[in-house]
Amino acid sequence: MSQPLMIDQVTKRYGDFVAIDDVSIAIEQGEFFTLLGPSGCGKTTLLRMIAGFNTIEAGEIKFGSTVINNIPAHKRNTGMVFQNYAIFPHLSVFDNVAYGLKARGHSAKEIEQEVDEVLSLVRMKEYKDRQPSQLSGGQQQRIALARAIVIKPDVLLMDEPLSNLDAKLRVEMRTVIKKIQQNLGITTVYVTHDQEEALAISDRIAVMNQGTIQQIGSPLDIYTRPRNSFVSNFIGVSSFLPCEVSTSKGESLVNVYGHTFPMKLSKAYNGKGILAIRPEEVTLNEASVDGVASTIQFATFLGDFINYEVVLGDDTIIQVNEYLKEGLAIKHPGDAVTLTFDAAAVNLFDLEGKESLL
Amino acid sequence: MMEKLRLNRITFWGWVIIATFALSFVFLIYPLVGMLSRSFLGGEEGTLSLRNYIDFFRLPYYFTTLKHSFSVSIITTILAILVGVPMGYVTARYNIPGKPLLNAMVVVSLLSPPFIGAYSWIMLLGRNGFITNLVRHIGIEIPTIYGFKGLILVFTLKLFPFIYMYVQGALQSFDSSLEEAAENLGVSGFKKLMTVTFPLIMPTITAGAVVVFMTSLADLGTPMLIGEGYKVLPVLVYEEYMSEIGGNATMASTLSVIIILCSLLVLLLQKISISKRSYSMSGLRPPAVKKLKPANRVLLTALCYLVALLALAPQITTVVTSFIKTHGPLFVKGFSLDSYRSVWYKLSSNIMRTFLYSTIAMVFMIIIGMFSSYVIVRKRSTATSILDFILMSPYVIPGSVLGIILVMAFNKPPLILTGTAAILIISYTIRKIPYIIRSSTGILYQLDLSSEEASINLGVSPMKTFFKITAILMLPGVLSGAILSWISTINELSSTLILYSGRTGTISVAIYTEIMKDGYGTAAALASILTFATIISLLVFNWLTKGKGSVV
Repeated sequence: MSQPLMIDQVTKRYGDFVAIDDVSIAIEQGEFFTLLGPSGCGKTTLLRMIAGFNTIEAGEIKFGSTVINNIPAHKRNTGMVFQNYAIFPHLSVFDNVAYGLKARGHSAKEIEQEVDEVLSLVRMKEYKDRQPSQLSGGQQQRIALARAIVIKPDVLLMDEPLSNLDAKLRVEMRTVIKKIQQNLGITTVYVTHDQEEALAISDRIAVMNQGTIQQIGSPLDIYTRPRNSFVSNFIGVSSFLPCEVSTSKGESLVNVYGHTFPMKLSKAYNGKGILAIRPEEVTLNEASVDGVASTIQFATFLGDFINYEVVLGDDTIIQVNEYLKEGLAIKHPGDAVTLTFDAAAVNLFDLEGKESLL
Repeated sequence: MMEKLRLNRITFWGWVIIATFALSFVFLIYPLVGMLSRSFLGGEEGTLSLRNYIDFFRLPYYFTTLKHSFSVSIITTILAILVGVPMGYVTARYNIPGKPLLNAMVVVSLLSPPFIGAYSWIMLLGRNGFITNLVRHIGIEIPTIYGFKGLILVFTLKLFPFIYMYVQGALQSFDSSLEEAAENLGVSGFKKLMTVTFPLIMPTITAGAVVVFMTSLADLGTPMLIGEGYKVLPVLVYEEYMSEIGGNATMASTLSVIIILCSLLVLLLQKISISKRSYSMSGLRPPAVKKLKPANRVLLTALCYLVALLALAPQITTVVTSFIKTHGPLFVKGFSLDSYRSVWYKLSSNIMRTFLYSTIAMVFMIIIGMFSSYVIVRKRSTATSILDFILMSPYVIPGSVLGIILVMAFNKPPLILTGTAAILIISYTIRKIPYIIRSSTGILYQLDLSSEEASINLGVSPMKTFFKITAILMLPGVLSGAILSWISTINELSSTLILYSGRTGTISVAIYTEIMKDGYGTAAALASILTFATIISLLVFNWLTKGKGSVV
């Protein structure tokens, strides 16, 4: 039966380099949890600590109520899907999937039945007797998944499992993975650097950078209310504008390039800040409307919307998306416009970008 | 209690490391240290002194052999490059017909022992050689091939294949877009070769050159047969050893140290020269084979085959002469199986022994190759790096020197092995260990670690994982490496000549002694058997590697 997973103040050092710095995460039983971050942020290191391939220098990892720090990798009962699938090239599809069951001493009859079941689940039953060399990347991926879940692991671990697939297959496979995971209700830790994939597949996401957790939350939370400018920049597209914030009598005003609008802050703040604006949170207005004066620099037509690079007075560039609707005319480079912002949607950070003011 | 617990905690791999260290200490370090210390015992009544070393550099009797050795090796290396590079280039880039045949001819000549080359060229061009006698009838005297010229001839023809195979391989996996980029920038033809192609394969060429240099420096059989008055260092080592037999072999030890230092020096020079110039090539688009104009094609094809035929001449000569009728030591008109008959009656036990010893050595090589390369690659630590270094060290020890240090170490208690089959098998295993370690670690580096991790993750312990996954995936590669080692072991002469006894003579020793007593027919028959065994083994190697394996 799958287990909740508790990561409690865990640290990993390589000499002087701290790869994982005092990280704590509580993952619920049956949850699909993603570790997301740029390469080198420590997400794979943490996953391998859970699997038992990296030692834990400080802190504890628990499956249910069992501390697994000192249990060797082969006794941890995790199912891992590797980035390159790691299908045993000398074993048939059946033997690959049966490998973990044999190690657990299941009878031949049980193995036959369990392998059949899991192969049907990943729709690979007719490939049972194939050799791995005869399988495509997507098929190998399905076998790797089947091999990891057939042993009924406490936790399913996936290390960038889709990164070697082409774009279309990646989207298809992430749906397959999500559906199977939901069906089985299996606690899953998923590692990726692809923010779109993380948003699409996860129940919750931990955004990591330089060995620390930047934010843990649902995909919606993380996208709409990033806790700092790193998360805001890493998830989706954000333009950052310097601004001046002042609070008096509980009312906060944001002044950006001479344009002022009210925002709701969590507490009073006076001084410089950073406004983080997603392309869909900006409106382009006629030059006569009150707003930040700017000029269209570049337009890209992308089907359901048009992306503009707009240049402000001091040569700062921001991204603006305009969605297609009746009567919309494409603007051209050189057109003068003013920008206004959706005050309820944009995010505001302190000057260092370390903390959200909302 | 604590002690016991600690012992229990040594893992399987810990024991592998300990066992390998123990074995290499007994059979390699201890003998080497013995030789090193004996080399300083040249004083009166065996006291500690530098006298041997001073004598070596002071007395022309000793020192000229060093000059001779270097002259032979340098000239051989230059000539091998001059033959091997153009031939490798032409066959890699142009439509030379029958390339597999050409390569097969070169490979067979490469894998046969050099002393057979020496002996065959004596049969052809020596004082009483076939060709010498033939052209003497029409009044032409062939200049003598004994001494310097003969050594150069034999070594060049024997060793250029290393350069040829290296260059051909490098050019075939060359990323052609680099050359296209040069052409796109307006550089083509010879200038492109000199500015892009050759600089990029230079590390490959120097690697081949070092092999040529070290092999020609270390070989004993060839100069013994064809060197005559032109004495080189290994011959001097052998003679000193033979004259010091029963004694302390201090001068032989000094000479051994010097020859090892020479090899080390060359290896270091090569490492330094390419340390900053090693390129990895993606080889995404291997270069197309260009079509030559008919006239050029005929000319270049003829040249390539001529060189290959010259390289293969020793094998052809021995096979042909093995069927010629003999009368005592003389060849007479007509063909017969006499030579094979006499081999069968007199020397069949030598044949049995050769294959038996080589097979046992091969089994050791496979075991050591699998286990040691695993700890070197996957359990990296200071201890395993030292182990790697120790296991690579026989690479710079010439066969005859290894023979001498083993005799000196094991001709007295606590372990007496001289005259036994064991000492030959030990020597064969040690000589080939560097090659087997290199090929096995190479295979392991290519094996993805995640296969092992997947197995462990699925609940199989690390040790069982090694046997169920890693070992099985390594086996074809290790086995093909072991077959190449097997081929060179059945052909081994240098250390065997020092280590064999009446009861342990091998084929190569029998060939050597037959040549020495003018039994050219039986020698030819034995050499043909070796060639035949080599070809069969090569076919097995090809089958194992699906034709993709490289023998160099």
